[in-house]
Amino acid sequence: MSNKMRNEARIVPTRFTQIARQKPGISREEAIQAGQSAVLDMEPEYLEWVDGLLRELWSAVDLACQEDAFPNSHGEDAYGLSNQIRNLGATFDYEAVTHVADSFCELIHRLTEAKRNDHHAMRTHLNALRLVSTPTFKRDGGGELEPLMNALGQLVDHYPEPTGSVG
Amino acid sequence: MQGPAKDINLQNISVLVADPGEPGFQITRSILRSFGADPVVHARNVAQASKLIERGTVDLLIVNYHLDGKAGASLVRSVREDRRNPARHIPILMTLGHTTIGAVTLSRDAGANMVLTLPLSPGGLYDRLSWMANHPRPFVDQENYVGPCRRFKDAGAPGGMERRSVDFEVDEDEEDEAAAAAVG
Repeated sequence: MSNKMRNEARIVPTRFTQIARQKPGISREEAIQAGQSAVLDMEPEYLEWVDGLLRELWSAVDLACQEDAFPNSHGEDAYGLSNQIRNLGATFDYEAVTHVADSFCELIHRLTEAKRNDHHAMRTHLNALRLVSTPTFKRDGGGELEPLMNALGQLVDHYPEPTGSVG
Repeated sequence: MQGPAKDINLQNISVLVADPGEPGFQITRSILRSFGADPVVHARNVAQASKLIERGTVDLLIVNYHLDGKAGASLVRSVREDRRNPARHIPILMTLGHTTIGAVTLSRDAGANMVLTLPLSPGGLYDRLSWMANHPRPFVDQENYVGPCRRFKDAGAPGGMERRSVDFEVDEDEEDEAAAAAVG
């Protein structure tokens, strides 16, 4: 290893590290309590967000299913929207939303890699996502989540898991 | 294994959240503000984020891997590799939604300090910010990699850290040597 590289590797002070370590700070317990309270305040907005994203997703899936070629831009839109829904669910205790949306993303990812379209699997995921977005499925989904995920998993596993792609 | 996550002070810390969606940004901002961070600014795409970063007023970057499709890692790499960029050393937290092969490795190799798997939780976010604040790593500037030293497996995660992300685990001999030289 060269001396040049040794000289280049050094801890560089940043404004973040300097300020963040100053007293008084916020403890983990205080932060979690404050953060959870902030999340709770946003729950009405969460329901509106998911409702809006589901509408957009419905349109994207509709358009994606009108084309035989896959991947297509509507499929990419559907992936992005499903991913956004995925990233919201569990923050608000809608774990089922995150699981189903993640399965939907995985399906689209595999279809993209396989260059295949599957209207049935796409629409089934969409319907499942609408179902678990209802308050009945908040938290553990009342025991109905596991069979639902198994069924969706079978649709996804119909296509091989990509091994050669990155990212 | 280190002790519990240490207290952190985020007063007047300027955060840029690069996230393609409004909900993702609003959740992140609300939690960060509840921790004391302010201002928390939004960029919806790589171009907006780059413009804001180049101003040099961003203290912490939180970037979604799925920014502009999957260009989050490219944004991180461009920040790290631009020697004229005043923010090239800032801590960067990469957030990941649906994860595909190589996403964590790509994030790490682009120069992100840590990865956090979404959905966000206050505890998960706090733990990573505390870790980044209290465990700064040597900044490596090599031909094939620019960013924080990628080896920190031995240090472990803070006690009680919510392990919702995949921590980087690499064995880069050259970086080890460079980092060892840096910390004496």
